[in-house]
Amino acid sequence: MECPLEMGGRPEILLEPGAERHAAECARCRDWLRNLETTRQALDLWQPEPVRPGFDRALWQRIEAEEARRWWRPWRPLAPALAAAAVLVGAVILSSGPEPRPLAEFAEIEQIEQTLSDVQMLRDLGLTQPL
Amino acid sequence: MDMGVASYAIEYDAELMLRVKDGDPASFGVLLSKYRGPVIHYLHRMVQNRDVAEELAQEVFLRVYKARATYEPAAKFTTWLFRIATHLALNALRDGKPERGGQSLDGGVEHADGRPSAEQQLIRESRLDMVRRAVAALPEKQRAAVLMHKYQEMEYSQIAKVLGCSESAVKSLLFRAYETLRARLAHLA
Repeated sequence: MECPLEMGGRPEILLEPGAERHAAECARCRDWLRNLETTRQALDLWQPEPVRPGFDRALWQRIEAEEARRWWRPWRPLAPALAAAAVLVGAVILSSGPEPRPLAEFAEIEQIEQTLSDVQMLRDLGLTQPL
Repeated sequence: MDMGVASYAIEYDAELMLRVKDGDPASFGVLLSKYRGPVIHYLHRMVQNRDVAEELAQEVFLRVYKARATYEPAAKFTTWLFRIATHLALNALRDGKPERGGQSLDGGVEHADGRPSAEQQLIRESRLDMVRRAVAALPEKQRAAVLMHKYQEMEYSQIAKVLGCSESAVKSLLFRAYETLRARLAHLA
């Protein structure tokens, strides 16, 4: 096997499982692999910090909010139509209150009152026979 | 990890996600408790800012939950998870989000065990800072590849799927990244 670190070689094959076999015969690659191990050990200095409490609670709150939005989402395009329907229903309810009495009925009452008033006036003038 | 155990874990994750798809939020809770830490730590090392990392991790899990209806166990669950995480991290880095938080390369070193002397602690923090800066200085894709390879112990094939490139491209990224890190961290040896 040619040295992958030579010009024109494929150095990335040193990351493949068979690299140690070549490194056993190649001081340059042996050095590279040793340095790789040292570098990886240096990276071990950066250990993870504990996750802060409240992470899950905040996430579940976001999920619940998202679920609520998801329920409403299919209806959103229909919002203008629903609003128009609501206005229409309201108008119908308002207009279906107590029915107005017919005008003829009013005229009849007025006529009777006028007649009674005339009779009273004739009586007051002594132009009628007492009943 | 034993391959039998590994494949069982893969099947178990997929099974849990399929249960989430069927409307079982408790299974999502199991996945969350299993992968919350790895995802946050990966994002923290990617964006170098803890607050931004947790914010992005919330978004990752929210996207997983929202996509549950379309989930098909065609790939490993972790490949899908880290693909979303990487996508969000790269976008955040391009938007300059970590810097906006004003806590880039934040500290927050917590010592759980023992009480090192002040001098030991200073040395440790200085070395840790060098590691952080060396990782932060890597190009984004190299950084993502190294973090998944070193800290998540992912296989080349999985890293390739997460980054959307070939396995040989991943090895090339890793070789260049480790070369850069070796040069920058040589004095720590």
